[in-house]
Amino acid sequence: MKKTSFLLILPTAIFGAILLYIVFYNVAISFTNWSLLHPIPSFSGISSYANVIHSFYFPTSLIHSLELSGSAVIFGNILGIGIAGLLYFLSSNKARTFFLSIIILPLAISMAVNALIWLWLYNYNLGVNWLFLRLGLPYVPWLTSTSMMMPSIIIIAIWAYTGLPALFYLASFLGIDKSIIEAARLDGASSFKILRKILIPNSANGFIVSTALLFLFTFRIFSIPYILSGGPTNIFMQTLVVFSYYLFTTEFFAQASALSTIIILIATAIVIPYALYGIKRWIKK
Amino acid sequence: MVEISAKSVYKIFSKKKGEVYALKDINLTIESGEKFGILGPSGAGKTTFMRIIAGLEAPTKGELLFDEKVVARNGKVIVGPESRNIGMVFQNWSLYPNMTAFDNIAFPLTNMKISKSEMRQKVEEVAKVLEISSVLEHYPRELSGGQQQRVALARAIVKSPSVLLLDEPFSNLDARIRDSARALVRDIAEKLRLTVIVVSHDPADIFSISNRVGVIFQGELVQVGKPEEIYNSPKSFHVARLIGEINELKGKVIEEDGKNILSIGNLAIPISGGYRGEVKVGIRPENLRLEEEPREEGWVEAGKVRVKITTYEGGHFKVTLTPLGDDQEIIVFMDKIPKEEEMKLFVRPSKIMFFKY
Repeated sequence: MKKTSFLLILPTAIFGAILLYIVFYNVAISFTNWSLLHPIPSFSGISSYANVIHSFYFPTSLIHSLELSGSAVIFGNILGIGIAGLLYFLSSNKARTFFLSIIILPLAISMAVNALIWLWLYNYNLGVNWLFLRLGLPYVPWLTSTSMMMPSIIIIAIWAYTGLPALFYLASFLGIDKSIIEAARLDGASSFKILRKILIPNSANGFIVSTALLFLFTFRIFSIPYILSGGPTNIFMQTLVVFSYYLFTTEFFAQASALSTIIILIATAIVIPYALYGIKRWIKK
Repeated sequence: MVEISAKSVYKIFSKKKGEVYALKDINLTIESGEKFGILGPSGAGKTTFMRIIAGLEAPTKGELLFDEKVVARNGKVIVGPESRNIGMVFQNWSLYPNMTAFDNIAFPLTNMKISKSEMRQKVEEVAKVLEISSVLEHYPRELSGGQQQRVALARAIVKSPSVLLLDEPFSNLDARIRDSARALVRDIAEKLRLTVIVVSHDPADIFSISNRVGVIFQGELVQVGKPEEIYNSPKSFHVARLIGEINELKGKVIEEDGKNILSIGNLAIPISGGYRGEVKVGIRPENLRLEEEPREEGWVEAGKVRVKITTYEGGHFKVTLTPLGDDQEIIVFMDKIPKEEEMKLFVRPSKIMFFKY
């Protein structure tokens, strides 16, 4: 019995060990001063952390990351619920599968490809604006105005990842006993009311999973800002992750590691309470 | 209060192997204010029929009418479930798990244009009648089965529906409280003067509430009538079996001295009626006695029988016996263990049921 359990956890343990090794190696570097100016790294305490946090780019990239993930969580959940609701009340199973596949499609494509497609769509003259002109709408300065740059990235992130909450909420809705929905119909409730009063309140699991995944996936987005700005240097499209790459390209290795560690800590701090709450609910049932 | 009519209702499911007829040519009119029971074994089609009345499904062929207005016809639901003013209690009660008992009961009222105070008043009224006023602030998962059932019932009747549908309402309750639950439902049904339709496989449920009963067997409505009629004059063995224990025996009717005698093995029972030759009969165990001649009128000695097995069931002894010279088993109930191996059997000839061979 003990031998079997040991064998079962072995693959996970091995990969977990490798992962932890890489993470701790990274953390170790973050406590040195390894950079272009110090090619042979030596222990320097938290100076790399201090340098990163006091850097000109840190506050803006932090705000951008939080804007991106925050918006994705809020709008991703809202759109996800809306789409799941629409799909739930479709009577044809085939139609439901068809539309769900379409909504999930961006996740099947490399994020870099998604970013490229949107780069073309955001073209000032030939992209979406071309259509707007024909519809009598004004041009939108997607990537040409500094105040529109982050919103443009956020739009892509929401578009790409809404499929996830839609899927999880739909699964949650379909898991609700059908006779409860029939009872609600007999009680005269409209579809919207059923969504509001019965489907959503009984989908706490869907909410927990969707929010956690939306946050994590958008927090680590790299390709979108990189491709839309052509590099890591545009500070209006710089998130924490892009900033850490920038530090890497400018050979401030220790600072890049420090920033990576900070990113991991933020993500962990937000996800772990979530995971614990989810596990607690699971055990309760 | 509404009159419900089913005209040539069929429900056909197309599967890969072919068509499955869940309901075949159902013709039935349930009067306004009537308490109607639908009895049948599992899978007979009774829940399907109830769902068609509720509007959750449409009849594949045929019409359903409420007060002579067509609400469903030939595969289409014309008047949806939300507009039929129906209160339904599902087999598992289907209470909304995320709402308190109060909110559950109030839910149908929130979909009607009523003020909050009026809503509260109606809910409290219904809760008082069903004696659940003390648990209104609890969630369904915190309530016992009986309480949940009463909440479900309250939710169904709070909107003053024209029809109350009950789908196997007592099968999820402990046997102990079933009787009080049946009495409760009967009293409410009478008090509110609603049209009530009860679906069950348990005859006790049907008999406690219904004025009339429809028996569904394999998708067909085989008999409709008052509960006593179904019990005493079932049209077939299937119907007889549904209602209660019955001994099914083959015998012969012969004429002797100008009288008709039903002969089963060595048993000879004088009967009236024009049956002749080979017959199939049904005799309920309560119309048979062993050993001692019953003091009431109408009993006759049939002959000697041999006791095969005796078991103890629910407070009395269940005795399996055979007539001498015959293999057929007969079941009788006794208060004490049969002492001899061969005993006298007494029967009430007027209660013997004859079925076509």
